[in-house]
Amino acid sequence: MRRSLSLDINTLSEYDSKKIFNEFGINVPPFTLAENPEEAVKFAERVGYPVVLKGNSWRITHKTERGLVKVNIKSPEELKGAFLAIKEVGGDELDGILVQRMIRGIREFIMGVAHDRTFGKVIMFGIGGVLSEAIRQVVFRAVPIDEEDAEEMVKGVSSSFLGHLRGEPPVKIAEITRMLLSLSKLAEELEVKEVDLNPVIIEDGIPYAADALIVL
Amino acid sequence: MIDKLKPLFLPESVAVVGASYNPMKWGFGILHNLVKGKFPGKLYPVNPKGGEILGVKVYPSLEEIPGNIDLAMIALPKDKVFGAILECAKKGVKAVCIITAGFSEAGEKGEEEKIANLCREREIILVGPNGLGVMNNHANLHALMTAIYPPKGNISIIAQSGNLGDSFMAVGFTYNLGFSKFVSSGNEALYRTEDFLEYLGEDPQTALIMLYVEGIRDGRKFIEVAKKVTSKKPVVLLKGGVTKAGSKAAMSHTGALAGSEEVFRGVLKQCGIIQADNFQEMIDIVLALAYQPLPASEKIFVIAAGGGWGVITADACEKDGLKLVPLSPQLEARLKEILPPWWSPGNPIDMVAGRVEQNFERVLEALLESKEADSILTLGAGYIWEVGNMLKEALFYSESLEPVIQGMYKRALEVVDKVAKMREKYKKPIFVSSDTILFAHESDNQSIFKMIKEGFFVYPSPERATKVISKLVWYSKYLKRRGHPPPEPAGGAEAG
Repeated sequence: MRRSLSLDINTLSEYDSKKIFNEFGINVPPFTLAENPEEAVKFAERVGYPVVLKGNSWRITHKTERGLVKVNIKSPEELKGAFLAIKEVGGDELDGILVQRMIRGIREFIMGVAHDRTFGKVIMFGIGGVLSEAIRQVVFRAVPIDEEDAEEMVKGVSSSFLGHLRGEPPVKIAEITRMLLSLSKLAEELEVKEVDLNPVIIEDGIPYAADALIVL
Repeated sequence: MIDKLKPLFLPESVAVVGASYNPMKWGFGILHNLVKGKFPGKLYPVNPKGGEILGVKVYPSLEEIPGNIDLAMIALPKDKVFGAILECAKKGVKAVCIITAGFSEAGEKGEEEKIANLCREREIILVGPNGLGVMNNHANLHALMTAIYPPKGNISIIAQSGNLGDSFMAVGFTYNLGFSKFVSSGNEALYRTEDFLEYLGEDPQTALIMLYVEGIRDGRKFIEVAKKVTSKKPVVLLKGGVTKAGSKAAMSHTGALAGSEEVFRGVLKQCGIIQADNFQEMIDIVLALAYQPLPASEKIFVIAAGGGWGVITADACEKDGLKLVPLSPQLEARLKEILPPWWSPGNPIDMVAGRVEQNFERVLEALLESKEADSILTLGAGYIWEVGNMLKEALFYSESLEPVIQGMYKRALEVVDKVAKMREKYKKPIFVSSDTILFAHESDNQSIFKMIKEGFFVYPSPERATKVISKLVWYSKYLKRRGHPPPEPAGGAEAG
């Protein structure tokens, strides 16, 4: 992060964003930054397949469109191939390749910090993850939020979405509120302009920020 | 804030700068309303022509007025306002209300900023510009462009549009609400909604606050103040400028910029402010808060008078998150003692053909006593009176029916007293819904008028009632979560 700041850049790479999330106790899937395929494979062996690969760079925001994201990688061979493919496409623009355990769940949420003209920094929570802009079911609270605020935000989402759904166990609401509170803490302590956790995927009831973006 | 704003709400002397001899002008109207309202302090109309208006001596300038001036109402053309404020500053006026429009709401920020800076510098309380004035009902202060003179009470209003404030009072007046203070904050060049909210929070003569807001400038202060106030008294807010079309109108009205509506909605929830989704809902909510104890939970009993109304009401309850709790075996047995053998147990409690003699009161009491729900919604009010009317119009009407008819009218009125006593005894809200209010005047339905007077507003349709109840439940839970005790109802006309 210091490196980014000294270059006067205001968007952090996913890797750097996730490191900050870790510091604040915001759930992220196990991840690492790999410089070569061997490192990636070692990591995958440790956390377990399937994994996801993403070209890491503070400059690039639409990674999927540029072919810099490979999901559901199930073997070392696939991993090596995917790694090299991403390296080929991204080239010098990349600061390593992010490897993370793939989170699997049908439910996605969106969480974030936005800046409101009247109230300043606000926490946002909603359903739909990557589809959230189409679904438009988001709620806001001004930073700082407390336990009651976080609970009300989560309960504001439809209860059927939070309960048992298509064979998946219910969402652990306490985990989500904890995440929102940590996000509020982050927004309080850092000079952030925008923070995006999208999607937050629920696996076995637990939320994980599958993607991360911090804009300073 | 209470002490700081004393010159505004409790002035001992008021000057009307730009006083007019022409009854069509605001410079006349404000003076007129102050006089009609029996303002007990000193009144000083100011106009270079001097003379007299409505029997009050007109001074050619502020300078020539003997004694201090606490509050000055400015009704001058726009280009003369700054000069007048300078005069006010020289005279040591403590508060000014600028009625004049055409400032930031019309896109002209510069002039307004100049005035605000001057007032800030000289520590003058500036309200407006583009405001309608200020009312302190208990002190007989009606320094307003248009005065409603509502009954005295505990409800206070801050409105960024004076018209909305007037409407709150006019409609409230009709339904027996009483008002305390009103400030039309206009463009909020210096003193804003959040400042007045702080004041009203501290005001012992305010038990309920109504806000009409199009934009908030100091969001952080608003949150801080709002949280403090809602811990003691309910605040109900109507937001204008929610849709894009609306916010365009808002911008030209007060010049304030509306932030994102979803954010605003969330922040209101965070602060414990009840948000009304439209004007009618605003009035509906206040009518309930004025008289009803807060429902402790969403558990509700519905007393139906037969027909589809029970069904529709059950739907409305569901939609608004109210829980029609099943009757416990004990309660069911208790009700079976009161109601006829063909009664089918369930909630809604359908009293079809059972609404005879004292059954209604006995059922109501049994429900309240059981404590199995935290509010009651009763349907079909006003029909006893209507049946009396119907007998009068019937083909078989004859003089001999009169005692029966009069008996029905009498009973209709007695029931209201009994229900009021029960609400007092059990301290639980009893909401009423019936279409009879819609033709109460045509029918001269005294029982409906009595219900309204006793603080049982008759919601014309169940969904209006369930919407209100759900919002009161929300506020009740907000207070509980935050460890605040529920407030006493504000009271209606002549309360406080």
